[in-house]
Amino acid sequence: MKICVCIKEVPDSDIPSNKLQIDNQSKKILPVENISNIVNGFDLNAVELALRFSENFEESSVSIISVGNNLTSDVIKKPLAMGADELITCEDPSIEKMDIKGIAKVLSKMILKTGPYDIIFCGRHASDFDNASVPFGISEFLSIPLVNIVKNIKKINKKIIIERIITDGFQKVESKMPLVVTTGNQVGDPRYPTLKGIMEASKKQIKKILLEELELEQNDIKPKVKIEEIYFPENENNVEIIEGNSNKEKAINLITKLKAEGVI
Amino acid sequence: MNILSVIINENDDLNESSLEIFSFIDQLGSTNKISSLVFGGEKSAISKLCSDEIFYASVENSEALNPNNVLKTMDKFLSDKKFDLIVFQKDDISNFVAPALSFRKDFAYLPDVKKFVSKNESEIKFVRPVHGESAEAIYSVDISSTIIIKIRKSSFEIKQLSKQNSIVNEIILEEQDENTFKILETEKVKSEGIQLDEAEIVISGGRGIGSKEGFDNLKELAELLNGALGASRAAVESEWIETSHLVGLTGKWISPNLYFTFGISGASQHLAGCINSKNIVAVNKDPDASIFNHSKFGVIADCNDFIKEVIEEIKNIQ
Repeated sequence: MKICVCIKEVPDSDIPSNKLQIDNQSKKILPVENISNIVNGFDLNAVELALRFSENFEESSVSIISVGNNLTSDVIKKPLAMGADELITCEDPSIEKMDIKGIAKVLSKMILKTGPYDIIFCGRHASDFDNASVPFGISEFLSIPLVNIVKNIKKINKKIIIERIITDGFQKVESKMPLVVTTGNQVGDPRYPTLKGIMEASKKQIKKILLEELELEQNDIKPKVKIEEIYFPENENNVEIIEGNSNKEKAINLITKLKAEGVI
Repeated sequence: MNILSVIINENDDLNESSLEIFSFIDQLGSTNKISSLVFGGEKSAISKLCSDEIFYASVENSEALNPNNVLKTMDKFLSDKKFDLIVFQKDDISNFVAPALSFRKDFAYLPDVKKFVSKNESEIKFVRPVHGESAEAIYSVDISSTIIIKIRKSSFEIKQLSKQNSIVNEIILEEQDENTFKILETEKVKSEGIQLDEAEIVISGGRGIGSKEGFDNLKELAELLNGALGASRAAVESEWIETSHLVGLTGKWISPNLYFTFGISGASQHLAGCINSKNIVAVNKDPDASIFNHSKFGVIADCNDFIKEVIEEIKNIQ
C-alpha cells in the first residue's frame, strides 16, 4: 500500500490573538517572536490515520508531501518522527502568491511525480486560511474520488470501506482506489513521536523537488483570488464583569442583570 | 450581475438558513438577475423564493444525498448557462460541492464570506475571517470568470419569502458515476434535548468543567432555562460529552439570544461557531481568557462552583 499525506506548516492556532502580528507586506499572520510554527492540526490527524491504516499491510510506505516557502525542517519533520517513511518538499517564493488552484496543481504534480499512490490523505482544512478546498483540487486534477471528514478506513478485498462524518451522524461509504481522503479531529489524537523516531527523523534527508521540475503552466499559477489586506477586527466590546463577595452574590447579581435585559 | 443561489434542503421543508443567501445578494445591489437552484424539499415550499427563476431537483432520500450527485447535476446544469456569481451556504453538501465545482469548471472560489466590500470592472472584494476568528482579510476576486462564494453561516439575516410565486422548472438529479464514492449506510445521531442550532439559549462547557460529571450541572441548567447544551472541542475530545454538542469551526455554528459559557477560554476555533450569539456570558477563573473580549457579562470564578449557585438562584426565581 503506497500512501501519501499532504501537510502544511501554519502558525500555532492555539496562540491567543494578542500574540499574533500581521505582516501586510507578505499578507501573512505571524506569531510574535519565539513561538514555533506547527504542522496544521488536521494534517496530523491525517498522518495518524495514514500510519494506522498502513500498519495493516506487510508492504506499505507513507510519504509526506509539503509545499511552501522557507519551511521549518524541525516542524515539517514531525510526521517522520511519528513514523512516516519520507518527506518530499517543494519550496519556492512564488508558492506564497498562489491561490488554492495553484497549490492544488503543485501538489497534484508532486503526487504524479513521486507516486503512484493508492491513497492520498489530507487534513480537512488548514487553520490559517480555512479554505477547506485544496484536497478537492487534487481529486479533480487527478480525476480520482474524494471522501471527506473520514474517521475510519479499511480495505476489504479490493474495496475501501470508509466511515465518514456528517452533521449529526455518520455514513459508511465505499470507494475504489486511488482516492483522496480528508480528516478532522474525529480520527483521534495523533501519536506522540518516540525518542527513537525523533532521532531517525533528524537524520533523514528531505527530498526536495524544484518548482521548475513540475512544469506548471502560467494559467495554473495565476491567482484568481488575492488577499488585499489582513487586519485584526476592532474589538469594541466592553465586557461588564459581575462583582460580588461570594459566588452566590455574583450569581444573584448576574441573574438580576440577565432578567433586566430580558435575556432570561 | 447574473447570480445563482444554491439551496440544499435536508428534509421536506425549506432550509430556512439558506434564506441568508438572499440578504447577502441584496448587499450586491438591486439590479441583479437572481436564479435559484434547489435540491430536495417539497416543490411547493420553494416557489416563493426571492428569485427571477427557480430550478428544482427532486431528491428521494435527502438524508443520504450523495454530494457527487449534486456536483454532477450542477456541472451539467452549468454547461449551457452562465452566471457571474454562484452562492452557496454552509452545509455538508455545499462544503463538498462548492470547492469541487470550482476546480472542475476553473471558477474562482471564496468560502466563509461575511461581507461584500466593493466591485469594479475587473474585480469584486469580500471580507472573510482568517486564522480562526482572530483576524479578517479583504480578498479581491477576478470577475473575468464565474466566482463561487460560500457565505459564512449566521452572518446575514434570513430574508423573508416573496409574496409572489415563481414558476419552478424541474431538472433531473444526476446519478454519480463509478469514479466517486457510494453511500452504503447513513446514520443520524440526534442529540438529546433541544437542538443546538435552533435554541434561543445555549449553555456550553469547556476544558474548565474538568469531568463528565461536571456536564450534569450544565444539563440541569439547560433544562431549567429551556436551552440546548453545547461544548468546546476540549470537552468533546475529553469525551465528557458527545460530538453532536460541539460548537465551533468544526461543529455547530449557532446564534442564540444567550450563549452562557462555563470554563471556555475562547480559542479562535470555538469563537468561529458562537461569535454571532446576541449575548455571550462567560464564566472563567482566568481574567485574561479571550472569551471575555467577546462577552457582554463576565464572571471571574471557578465555573463548577459558580454554576451550582446559578442553578439555585434560577430555581429560586422560577
